[in-house]
This record gives sequence, C-alpha cells and structure tokens, in this order.
Amino acid sequence: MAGSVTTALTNSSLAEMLSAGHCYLPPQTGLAVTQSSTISGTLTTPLAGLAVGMAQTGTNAGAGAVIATLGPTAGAYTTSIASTGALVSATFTGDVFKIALIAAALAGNIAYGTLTTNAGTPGTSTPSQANLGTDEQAASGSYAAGGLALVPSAITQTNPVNSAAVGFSTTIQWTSATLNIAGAMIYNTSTRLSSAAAPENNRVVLVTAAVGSVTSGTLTLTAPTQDGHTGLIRLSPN
Amino acid sequence: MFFRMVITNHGKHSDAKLATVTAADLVENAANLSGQDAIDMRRLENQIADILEPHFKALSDRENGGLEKGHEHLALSYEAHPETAAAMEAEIMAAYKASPFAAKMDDAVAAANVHEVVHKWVCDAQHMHRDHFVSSGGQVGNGADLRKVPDFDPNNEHVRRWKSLYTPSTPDEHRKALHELMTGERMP
Repeated sequence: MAGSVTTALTNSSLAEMLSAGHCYLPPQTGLAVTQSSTISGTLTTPLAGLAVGMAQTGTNAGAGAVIATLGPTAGAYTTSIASTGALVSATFTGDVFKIALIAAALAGNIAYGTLTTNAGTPGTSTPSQANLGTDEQAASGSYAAGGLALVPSAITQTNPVNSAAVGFSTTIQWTSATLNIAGAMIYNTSTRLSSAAAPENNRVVLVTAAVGSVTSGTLTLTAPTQDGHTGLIRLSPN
Repeated sequence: MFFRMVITNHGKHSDAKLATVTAADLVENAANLSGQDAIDMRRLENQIADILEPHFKALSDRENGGLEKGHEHLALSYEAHPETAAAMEAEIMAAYKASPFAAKMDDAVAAANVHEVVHKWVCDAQHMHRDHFVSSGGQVGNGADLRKVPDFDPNNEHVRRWKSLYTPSTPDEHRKALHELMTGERMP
C-alpha cells in the first residue's frame, strides 16, 4: 500500500488540547520587569495573554525558565529557574510550532492524517505514525530539516462568541528551493506532556494535503482565514 | 483548513504574479457567483491586479535596494509596510466603490477583507525578498535581473538571526532570535 496524506487534526492533538498540551498564545515581547528576587518579578504594565508554562527569554533569564506562577497581585509572576543577573526586559512565548513538509515520494506506507501522533526526528529513520523520518522533504534552499518555525497570532473569537481559532503570523514560504511535496504537518516542538517512557516531543497537531513541486524557486503556502469557519485549528460548539 | 499554494520556478514570485494572486484572494467568492455578477467580479479582479502591480514593483525596488545597502535590512519590521499597504487599500476600495458590488456589499466588511488580504500579501512579498537574499547567498533583484551583493556575509548577525528565527534547531534558539529582533537587545 502506498503512503498517503489526508488533511486532518490528529486525534492525539484533540486529546492534548483538552490536557493543556499546547499553548498557542502569541509572544509578548520586551516587557519591562521589576525583579524582587531572582525568580520573581512584576511587569511594569500588567497584561492579558500570559499563562503558566510560557517560556521567559531575555538577558540574564535562566536557561529554560518558564512562568511557574502568576499573581497574586497584578503583573506579578515567578519563574521555574532563577535569573543569573538583573533582568529588566523579558519576552514570554508559548510553545514553538513548526511546519514540516511531507515529500511526494513516500518511502513507507504511512497514511498521514488523524492517526499521526509525532513528527519524531524528521529526516531520520524509518517513517511511522510517530516519526516523519525519511518521508520528510529533503532540505533545499531555505527549507531546512524539521521545517519552518511558526509564531502564533492572537487567538480569534467570533462575535457572538461561538468559536475560537488559532493561526500563525509567520509567512510560510521557501525560496531558492527545489521541493516536491504531498503535504505538510504542523507539530509542537515544546515539551509540555509526558508519555509513560519519556517527555513527549514533536507532537503533531495537524496534517494537511498540499501537492505541488517547485524547482529552484519560491513556494508560498497561504493559510485559510483564521476564523470559526475555515481556521486551521478551531473550536466550535456547533 | 486547506492551504493555498503559490509556486514560481527559478526565482521569486514576480510583481505581476503577486498582484494577480492578491486580487484573486480578494475576490475569491467570485467562484460562487453566476451570470452578470460573475463577469463583473472577474472584471473587478483584473482591475485590482492592474492597480496592485506597480505597488508590488515599488515594494520590490525598496526591498532589493535595502538589501543591497546592507544586511540590517533583514532586521526591519516584518509587519506590512504601512504606506504601501494603505495606498493599496485606498485604491482597491476606490475601485470596489465604483463597481456594481458597492451597492450589494457592506463597505465595512469589504474594507476589513481588503485590509487583511493586502497586509498578508505585502508581508509575504517582503518576506520573499529577504528570505531569497539569505537562501541564495546574497542575491537581489527580480527575474532576469538577479545579481549577487558582493559583500554578502553568511555569518552576519542579521543573517544568522533570520535563520534562527525560521529554522531553529531548538525552541530556545527561536525564542532568543524573536526577543532580539523585537527588542533590539543582544543576548550572549
């Protein structure tokens, strides 16, 4: 049986979304911070859109630091890892998602779609539902192994509020590239859940069929409008 | 949740192609129309493409000129160039208001759609010129007029940051690049 690519949110991602398994909040960059200790600080201007588990980046931020707690007062927070010096400007980011391309010539017989769970180690090893492996499009031009990092945009809610949709602000485009693809997968590179054996990495959120080829040129993928009708990832009660 | 794909072999999307796909994106509901409405919508689509092409040409000249001057151009805002987008929006809305659809559609809804689509494609066009500069080892220009910038440096901090932002090997590499880009702060 030949492999295939079918557009779908993966079953595993649906369960993960209900398990705090993905953080789609957009980055909050360059926020002024007043520290009261190496692990606690207060934002000069409190704002919405921060969540426990978001990574903190900035000069002197501890490597791998994430928000451990928020509150109890407005703008106050603590981090999981101490800063190494004065931290006055911080960027908070949710999970880092990537879009990887699935090659047109599928080596295995994997039916990428609802049953796909992990991107595994793209470019390496035997393909399976838990590893894109050698079914990844080979690097070319600005397409690098593992794919393109995506920056989430603000989550939209329709009015009246009966749906919410996730989108990405990154231009999904590759230049100077020779590519021949059957589709793409968006996966979460951040570790946020564990499996029985180890932390779960590179969990696939969605798979999309997208057939095309380009020779030494430019390929642009345009995502659908981020709303309750066509958005890439959307929740709606009806 | 399907992606639309735009492909150009041997180089970048041309100004004319960018104008055409932007116009097509704006009037994508034409496929659901019939009779005179469909004809009028296609006419408007062509008119919008004609309006947009010189704007994409100006954008292309600005991007290529900036990249030719120095790698710092890669650190400019990734948002759509405000004057370019505003000029496009104004001219598209004027064409729309002069069309038969002005009487049939809500102006505010049309304006919101135009804003979203124009900003998306202006961002895509800017990104294309900058990404091609990085991925081709310093090429600028369009079509048959592609040329290498002699002092392109693959190790320049802006080139490295561009790669870290889009093709990081770890999530932290991406986060650091994002922080540096948005704040101007340089981290060790």
